[in-house]
Amino acid sequence: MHETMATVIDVRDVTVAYHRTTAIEGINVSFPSRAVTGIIGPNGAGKTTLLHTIMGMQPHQRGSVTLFGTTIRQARRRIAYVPQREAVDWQFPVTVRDVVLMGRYAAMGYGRRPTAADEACVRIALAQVDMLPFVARQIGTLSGGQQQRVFLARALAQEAELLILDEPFAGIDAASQETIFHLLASFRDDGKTVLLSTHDLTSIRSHCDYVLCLNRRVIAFGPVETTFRLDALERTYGGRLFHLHGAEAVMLQ
Amino acid sequence: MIAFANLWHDYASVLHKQFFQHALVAAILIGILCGVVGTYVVLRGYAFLGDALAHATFPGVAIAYLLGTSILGGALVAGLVTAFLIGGVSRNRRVSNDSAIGVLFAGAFALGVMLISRIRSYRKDLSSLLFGNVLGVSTADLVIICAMGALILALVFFFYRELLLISFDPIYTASLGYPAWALDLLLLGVLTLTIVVCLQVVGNVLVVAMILTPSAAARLLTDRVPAMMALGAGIGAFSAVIGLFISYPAELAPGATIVIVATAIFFLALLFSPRQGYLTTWLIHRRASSSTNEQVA
Amino acid sequence: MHQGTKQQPITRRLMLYGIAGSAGGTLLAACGSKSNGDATAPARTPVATIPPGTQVTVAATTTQIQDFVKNVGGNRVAVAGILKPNVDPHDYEPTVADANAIAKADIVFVHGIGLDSWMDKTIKSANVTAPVILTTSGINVLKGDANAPDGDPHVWFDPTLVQTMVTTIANGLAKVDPANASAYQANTNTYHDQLTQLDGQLRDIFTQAPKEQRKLVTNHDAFRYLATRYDLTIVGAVIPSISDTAEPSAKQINDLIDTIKKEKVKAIFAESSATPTVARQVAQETGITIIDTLYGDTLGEPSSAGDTYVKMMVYDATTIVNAIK
Repeated sequence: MHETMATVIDVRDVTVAYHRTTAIEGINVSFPSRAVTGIIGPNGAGKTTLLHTIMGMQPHQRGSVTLFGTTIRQARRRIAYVPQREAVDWQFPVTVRDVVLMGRYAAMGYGRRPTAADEACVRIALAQVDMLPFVARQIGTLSGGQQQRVFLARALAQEAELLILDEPFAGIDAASQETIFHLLASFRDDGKTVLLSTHDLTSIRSHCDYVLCLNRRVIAFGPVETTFRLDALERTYGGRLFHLHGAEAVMLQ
Repeated sequence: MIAFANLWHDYASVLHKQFFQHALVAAILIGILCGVVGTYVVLRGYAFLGDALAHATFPGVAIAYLLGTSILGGALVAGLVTAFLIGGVSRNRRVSNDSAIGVLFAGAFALGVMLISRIRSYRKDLSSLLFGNVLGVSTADLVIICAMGALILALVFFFYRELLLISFDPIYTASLGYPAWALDLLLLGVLTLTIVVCLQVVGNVLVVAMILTPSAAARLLTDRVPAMMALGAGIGAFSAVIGLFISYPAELAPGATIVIVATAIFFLALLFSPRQGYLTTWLIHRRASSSTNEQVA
Repeated sequence: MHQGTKQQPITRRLMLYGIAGSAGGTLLAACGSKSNGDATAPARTPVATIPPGTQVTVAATTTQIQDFVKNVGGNRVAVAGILKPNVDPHDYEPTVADANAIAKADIVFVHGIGLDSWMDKTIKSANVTAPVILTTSGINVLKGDANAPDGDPHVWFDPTLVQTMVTTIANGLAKVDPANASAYQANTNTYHDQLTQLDGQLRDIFTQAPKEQRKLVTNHDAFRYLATRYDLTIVGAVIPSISDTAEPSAKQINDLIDTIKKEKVKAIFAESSATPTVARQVAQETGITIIDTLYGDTLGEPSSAGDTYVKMMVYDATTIVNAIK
């Protein structure tokens, strides 16, 4: 624990169980602000469950979650969530602009129409992710990496201070991945916070400040330099790992 | 030529009749409603659910008939109750959504049949609810249809963004703090209302065609939701008018004729849609391959 | 390679079961639905005659026949009615209780002429050994239409035809209960007289309205025998069919409205057992009244104005004349 760091999310002794299984148990972790934190773990480790619990979308049986020192209800305006890409119907007849505009809905409230300021915000967000030329395209015509960038733009349009992303790099090309990581880094440099879950271990060391190793319980948490190590990884993944390029490790299941 | 003159005269005659005017207005309204609400049915894959809700109104109709209260009210209550139950039952992991819907609506319909069989008196009115009777729409009926239609359209347009959100990305919608279950229920409620209004025109058996076909055709013709709604409404209204007019000299059942027209439009869209049509893409292919042949030669 | 299209054995077996099942099912359905269009069920010789002192158990389909049987049999018969008042006889599904009643009866009376053809299936499946009497045999039936190929079944609207039915019923009862044959004959004579009186009374009622005003629009074409006997004109019907299971087309409704206006018809007559939406709309549009209290295909509930055949006919005639005068 890094009590000296300012924390944006405090998870205290959270347990989530459903369908007779325990998804995550006794989670105690405080995510620091102004940092990029990665959550890693094998399939079924509870990464998405933890993120949903933090967002108040999943009820928890024990424990508490505090965001920005308050409840999710109060804090929601300051948080933007980027769900997994596969959950979306890409044939849906919406354009890139329509999707990013959704990020403004929460601020608009019931019955109000989008203003010029909203439209401007959409274009700014798209420019930040390098997707402005695609503003009128139907989302099904985009590649995986482009779609993910549009989702990110939607989150940016919310003008939040905390960005939570669930598996943002699943199935996207390396170039898009780099773009996104650059963006997240500048987000952090602006004084904001990023929390993301990922399967891809190779990028953790270079792009994340903190890492949480999760396998239904907290296996390890801390700055990447000290925490992202072979012993922690082996305990997290329970499988054999072998070295690549010395310090990097790739999991073999 | 004489046939045409006769036809013209026949149409002139029937257009002066109040029952036909009522039928036209009711059918056009239903066409518009179905095109708008059907957008969600198509986009969310609610075809089976729509059919189920239509059949599930049957016990409500039977009970209302027994109690002597409004049949439309009974249909509405039954539909909403079934929608609720489907939502609740499908939470059980062992019961797939499909199964939940199928079990509940079949059970509801059977309940209706059982109740009907207990009624020892005339059941004529109910058969017109199974197949619709657009030619018997009274002024009072029309007022109710207009009022309910206005309510449905108001709900859809006021909650347009929220319904779009929940249809496109339910998880993101929940993350924004919207009560996802409430929005789903709102959509189901709007769908049930639409079905109940349509029952009068096309009846229980065909109402699923009306809430599906115009919107399915519209989906083939556009890539934007607002356009899809407008097109769906247009196709629905158009099918209603043409269907009614064709059914007149041909002496066909009006409800079914309307559905046939809508289905024909769907097939036309399937073949000729500028982007997705089978024939259009085939033609483009042919032109592309013949031009490459020319280049090679 | 020899992998080819050889099917797994279990799939083949399932397919065969499927084909056999659907073929068998179709066969059964075809047999079942083939109704006896020619409804002359042969009267079988009774297995045993009724022991003296007990009642004859009678199963009768329509409410009219039930009334006739009671008049002929008096307290020597116990009548189990299949159709209840206000139940549509054109389109009825017998229940298990009905099948039981039919099976237990000493004699079964049916109407015929396609009205209660749904009885045929039940009679077969209930293994009825008692005689099944066609009460309308010997009657000259008016020609039917596409929906009623066996003819127009509404013969009860002519009391003289009812007299023939009553005789047939009496003969049937006498066959299974010969001990009381003379009593049945006496009751028949009494009832015949009542019917003759009724005929005169109806004629008096109807002539209260001059001929040009005796124009009827009915809900379905049920009153042709009444029209023929008492010189009424059926101008049209909302459901232009002898059976009421059809739906009128827009053209038919249009033509009917034109006819009503041209002939200056005063009212649409519907039966109390129907609440037809189209009839109501036509009435609203032409501004004429809709009388929906007539007794058409069935008698009324007990203690209503039409709970016996005689009362029903008088009520109908009076109501019609009052509306068109």
